[in-house]
Amino acid sequence: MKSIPLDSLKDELKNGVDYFICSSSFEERSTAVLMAAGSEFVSKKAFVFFVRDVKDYLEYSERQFIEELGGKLEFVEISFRHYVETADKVLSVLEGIVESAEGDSPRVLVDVSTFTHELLLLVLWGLKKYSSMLSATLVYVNVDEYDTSTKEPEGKWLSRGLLNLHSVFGYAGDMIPSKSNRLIVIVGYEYERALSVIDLLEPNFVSLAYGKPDESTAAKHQSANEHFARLLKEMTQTTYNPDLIELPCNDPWKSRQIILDHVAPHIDKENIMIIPMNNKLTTIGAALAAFEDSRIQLCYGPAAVYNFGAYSRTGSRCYVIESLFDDMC
Amino acid sequence: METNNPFLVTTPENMSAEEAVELFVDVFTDFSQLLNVGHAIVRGPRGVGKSMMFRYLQPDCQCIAAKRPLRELNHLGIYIPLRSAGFTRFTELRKIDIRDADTIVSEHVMICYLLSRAFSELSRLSDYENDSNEKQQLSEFFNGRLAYALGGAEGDNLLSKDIGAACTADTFQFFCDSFDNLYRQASDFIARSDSKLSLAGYEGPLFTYLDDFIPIMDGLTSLDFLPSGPVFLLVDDAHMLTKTQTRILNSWIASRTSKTVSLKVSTQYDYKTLYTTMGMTIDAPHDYDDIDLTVVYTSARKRVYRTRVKDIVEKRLKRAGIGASAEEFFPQDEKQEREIKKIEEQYIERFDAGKGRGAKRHDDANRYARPDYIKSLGGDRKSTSTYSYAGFDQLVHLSSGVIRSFITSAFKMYSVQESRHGTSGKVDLIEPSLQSEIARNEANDYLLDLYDRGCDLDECSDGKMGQPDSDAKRLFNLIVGLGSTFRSFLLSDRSERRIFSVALTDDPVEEINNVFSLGVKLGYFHRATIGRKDGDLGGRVPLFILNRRLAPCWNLDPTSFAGYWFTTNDTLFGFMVDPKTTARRVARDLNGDSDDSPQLALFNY
Repeated sequence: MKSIPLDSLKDELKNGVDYFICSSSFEERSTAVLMAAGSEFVSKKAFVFFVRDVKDYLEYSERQFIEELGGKLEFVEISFRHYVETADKVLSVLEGIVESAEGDSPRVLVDVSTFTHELLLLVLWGLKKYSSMLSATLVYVNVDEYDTSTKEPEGKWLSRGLLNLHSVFGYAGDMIPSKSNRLIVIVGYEYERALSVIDLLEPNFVSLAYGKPDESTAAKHQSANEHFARLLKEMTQTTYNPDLIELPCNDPWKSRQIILDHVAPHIDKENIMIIPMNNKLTTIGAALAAFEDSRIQLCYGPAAVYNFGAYSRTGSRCYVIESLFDDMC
Repeated sequence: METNNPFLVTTPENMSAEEAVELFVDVFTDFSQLLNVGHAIVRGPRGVGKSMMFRYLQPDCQCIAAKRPLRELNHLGIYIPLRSAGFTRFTELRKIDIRDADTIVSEHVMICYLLSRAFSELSRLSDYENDSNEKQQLSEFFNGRLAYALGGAEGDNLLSKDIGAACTADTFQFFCDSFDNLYRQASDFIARSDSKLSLAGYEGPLFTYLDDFIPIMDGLTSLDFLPSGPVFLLVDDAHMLTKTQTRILNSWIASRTSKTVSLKVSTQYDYKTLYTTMGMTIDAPHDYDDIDLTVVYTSARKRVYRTRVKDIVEKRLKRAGIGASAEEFFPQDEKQEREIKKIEEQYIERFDAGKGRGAKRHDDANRYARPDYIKSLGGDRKSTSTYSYAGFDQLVHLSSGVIRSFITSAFKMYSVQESRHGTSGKVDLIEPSLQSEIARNEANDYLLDLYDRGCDLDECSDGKMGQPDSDAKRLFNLIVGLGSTFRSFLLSDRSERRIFSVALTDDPVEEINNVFSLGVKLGYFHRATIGRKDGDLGGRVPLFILNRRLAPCWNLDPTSFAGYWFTTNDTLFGFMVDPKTTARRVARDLNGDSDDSPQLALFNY
């Protein structure tokens, strides 16, 4: 994995790819890769996931995708509420890419920056399934600031409410009726939603993980993440006495290992459920952990409403991840 | 975490039997149907005590409470928690869309879960003799009931364990492991199916309630070392089930099997459906007893809820080594109560002089003294916010029939009081000022929680992401409008000033119904019924009672809300859109309205 300035992405992608996959979003970040690299890097087709539940907030990014990608563009409509249908569509996109390959493995660039955590997990599951038949590179654009309308980190909000809670397709885990349940929450800014999940599930045990970035520019994210994790710990202290674990915000492999190390003493006696609510890189880490140990379940709970107007400001760097599944059998 | 706080909220499932029995207050006189043979659906918001009742009905608690050995209990309670049950959020189950396959597979998965939990619970009991009689019976039970059901690999696996040799608890654990394995087998099969699920490749059993579960339960109750009475299957949080799973559960309720297995189902107010898998509905009382805990605890039954809370509080205090009564531990603001008492005496004098409004000597004193005191804090004094909500009675009222609300508040109060004491030791009481401060903070937080759900809609013009956000905003406005209106009633000269509920003079339109439904679901309103205002039309209409926890938001009198207010769809729409203007208009109309509706006792004691 490498971290490069967003401006360098065009050069990084000079060899081009066959297919581009990304998601339309109310965040300006959704078109950052396309605007930085230019549409020439895509030779065949671009699949843009389009969440119909928030379609009124996607007009701007939708226009940009149409302008830049023209005839190469295909919108794939998905929904927060119809997650089995979403899983089918994600698989269908990847199956189509694999089936249309002529000889060499098609090269696919996936911009995960504005995927929902669930969509990211679905795409990863599909990429792993077809990992021997295509060559996938992930790109993640960082965020300079979340909730640009609020200065104090402790006052920031990204979403409210919890629509439902379900296991992510492909990550059912091994939920044995007679075992007790441990919920691991990877906390970000959305501590209120995390609290709702804990309240809803009433697990026997809780662990709280928060992201710790290395770069100083993201120090403010760290203080907010840590703040919300500690707030959540305080709120659940007397009932659960949760463990607090630190995950690196920018190293999915390390996150994977820390998660696996944390669950190892528990997994024989407890059902392990993880709900990733931090950045996409830690979510990739959670997915890698679940691929390594399929007894781990990954869950997702969409929010009832998002901070559409001021969710984030795009950062100036991006992470490029190649060969994500190379070390996995 | 270690804490001295006597009001620590522990989930009943995690409580030891000793602790559960020690803390339990017998509420079954309020809901005697729960102890009868027969199915029941128990409804109520979170925290009203459903899970605690179920915990108490489990055999380990019953042995302690009844002081009887296991075999002599009246029933065998098996706890089935659905809140954390994997199959309720198992996404792959939803991809089954082949006709009837979804119910067949879902029912099998549910039965495996029930049987695993049942045998797991039995394996944790310690009241066994482990003698040859038990071993013999267990072998016969296995051969007669389980072996056929398990079949194949699991049956062989169990045989290899030499059931006759193991102790009883271990034998039940073997059975539990088998059903865990079958659950895993079915889940794996479903998870690994790529496309729409076909059962063609599935090689395991497919259990049904009538053909498999009931005979196994019947076999269990035939074991002479277990209770011979029916199994009470204590299904907790059934609102977590999907619609298909709920229909399956309803089909079980509709079956005439309650003498073997009585289903006691708890749910919040969003139980998905009353339809069965055959398209019929289950009906109360024909198929089941319908028990609404909120209605019971906000009904006119005298002092019931207060008595329950007092018992619960005093048990917890005693356990913590605090000898005070509930009233002593939560004292009222004496200065305030003296002032109110003076006003009461004035009303009694007025009655004695023939100038009273009420029928009985203390009626006016009870109705008007506290509202008059609150009124007196406004005006020139401008100190409405100094009304104190301290005192056990007021705190009981504020908890609005939900015991957890009381306990959670008490927990906070104790924590803060303890921190004020520093290291000087025990807390003997909660200072009135602290009680009131926390009650006010909680009321504001409770209301703001709803505001937060909808506040961003100021930026998002018409509230997309579906109805929930728009309804949340409308609900917030409605509550604010009603609260302001109820305050106007309190400060008026009407004969009934303590209004805390609303009903419609015309039939509610869908939008208003949706908002109130959300309000009930989230606990901001309780729902009851009342006779129509226009008696000629006959019938009853819904009555929505605002959660008393919100009383401090508008400095309302939380004690004894006896009155209700009839209004129109238009007015309620007005609140939803512009609560401030509408409330002002209503307040103006109020002063010119001489309507003195007869009182309906809702929560008098």
